[in-house]
Amino acid sequence: MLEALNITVRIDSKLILEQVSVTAEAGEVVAVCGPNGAGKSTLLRVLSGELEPTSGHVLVEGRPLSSWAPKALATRRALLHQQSPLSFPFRVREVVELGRFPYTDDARHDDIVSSCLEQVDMLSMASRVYTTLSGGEKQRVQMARVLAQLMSDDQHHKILLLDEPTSSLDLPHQDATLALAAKHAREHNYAVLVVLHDLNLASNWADRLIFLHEGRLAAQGSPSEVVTTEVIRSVYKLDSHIIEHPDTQRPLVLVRRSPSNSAPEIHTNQLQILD
Amino acid sequence: MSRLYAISLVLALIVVAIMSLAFGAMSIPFADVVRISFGALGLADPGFVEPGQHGVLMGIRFPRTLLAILVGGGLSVAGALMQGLFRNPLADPGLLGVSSGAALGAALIIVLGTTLGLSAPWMLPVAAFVGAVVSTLLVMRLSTVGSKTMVSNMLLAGIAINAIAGAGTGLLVYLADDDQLRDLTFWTLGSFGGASWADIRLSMVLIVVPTGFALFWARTLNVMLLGESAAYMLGVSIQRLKQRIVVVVCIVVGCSVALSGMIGFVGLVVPHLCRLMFGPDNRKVVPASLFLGATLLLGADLVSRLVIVPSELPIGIVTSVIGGPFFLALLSSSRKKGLW
Repeated sequence: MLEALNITVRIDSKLILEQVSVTAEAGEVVAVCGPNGAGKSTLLRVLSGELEPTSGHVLVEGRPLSSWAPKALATRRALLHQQSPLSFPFRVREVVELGRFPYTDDARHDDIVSSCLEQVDMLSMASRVYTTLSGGEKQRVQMARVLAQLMSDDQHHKILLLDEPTSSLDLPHQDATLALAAKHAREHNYAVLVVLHDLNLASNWADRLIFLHEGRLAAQGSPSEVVTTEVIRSVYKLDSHIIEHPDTQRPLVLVRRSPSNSAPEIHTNQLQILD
Repeated sequence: MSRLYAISLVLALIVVAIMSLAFGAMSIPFADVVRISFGALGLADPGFVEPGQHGVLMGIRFPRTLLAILVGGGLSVAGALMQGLFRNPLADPGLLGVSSGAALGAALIIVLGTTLGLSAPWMLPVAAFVGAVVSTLLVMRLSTVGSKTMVSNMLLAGIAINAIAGAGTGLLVYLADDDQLRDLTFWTLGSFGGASWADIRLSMVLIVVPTGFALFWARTLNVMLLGESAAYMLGVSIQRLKQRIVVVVCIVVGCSVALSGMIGFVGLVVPHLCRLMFGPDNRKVVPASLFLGATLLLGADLVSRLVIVPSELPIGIVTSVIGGPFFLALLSSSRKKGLW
């Protein structure tokens, strides 16, 4: 499990995160939401150990992050970045293989890589050149790489950190990606922490939601506790309706179309062209 | 396909090495080359050896051939390391200020050596090596904030140090007389003409050992291509790797430049050629660069000795004349395949 206690991050004189405490238990999916610049990605960087907080502690399995050897930590926690700067023409399979870097035994690499590609629905493109893929396909390959990093026989608790894993994905793959993360939480006891902009995706798949606002924790709880008109108004300055998903009974957010936040006008002749 | 390439790389090196030993102002038959070589290694009884042939082969051609192999391999592996570190196929060791620092050191000795009483023959390579090390340390120091070295700052610091060293060299060129100017120009174009066994012993320590270490970093370099942040997540100690790469590149390139002058193009082009043959996997690119770099530089040296016998062309001219068009041709053919 992953614990962060009173994390404060100050870069130059700007306060990015202020006294934020979060936890992700084994088997749990936690969604981190909030407006642009709320500190979500910074929080993920702190939780992964990449960024040292100005004050506060991060504990992995009860031990401070700084006491972990890099390779040992790499077999327990993985982070999917928003973007990858990979610009060399590796094959898709080779990119996923890079996720096996922390492991030295070579025997099962091929099976693991295939299985991870299968899970993100990219096995059929395993021999394509990564740099020629679309943005969404690249994102799925990177997801497979991150899954391959955590897949092993050891009984360690795994921590999966995802920074906007659905930002370039089409609707079915958005859902599939979150379903995949949830499956790893349920079946393999992963602690999953995922930054999401889509509140409905978060509400549908997360056990808990955390709202960050201007570097502070604004609200946290189960979807039905925190996905409310009040929280959304205070965090996003946005009026909304909350309705219930007919299948899951989870809250869904609809942005209000009242004069206070009016919709952009669409001319009827434009709609005809789209037809 | 890549196995075929690998075998041809090794064979090409052997063939070019034998040609390099056999051809020159005095031609030695292949059979005698092999016989004398095996004899020198104590593997076979050489039988009767003509003293002149033996002298040319063991005293001149062997050290020269070995030095070209070591420098070619070392420069190419250094180039592959730089391209991995900068995640950019256009990076080369010159970015660290190694070459310009070495040039300043060499110019200092060539132009002011007599005045300063530093004109002993060993002074030139020592000064070039010191120049290379000092400028690299400066670049490293300037691009490190706290305990983190920023690769983008390294690029900028390298440009600044190159400019400053270039100004120093320029000043010395201005002060130089005609003979010194000629020496300096020839030095910057590179040559293996003066190679000795002492050079080879030195290269064993300063080129072979660090290059050997670098061969073990190929897998880590692959992970670095995902970005420093992703590499950190996978357990790479980024700062330590950066320092090691810079140290290896500095020593290998510094020693190469000190012993053979400035030989451009090899460090940039060879890893690129290897990537076109084997794909971007550094586990193939780094060792392939070693062999291809050695072969190409040895071949270039051979050409430089043969085109205007008994005189020699500076090797920098040959590497650029052959390498440039070849590289362009490969680029245009791979661009059609959409690989870059």
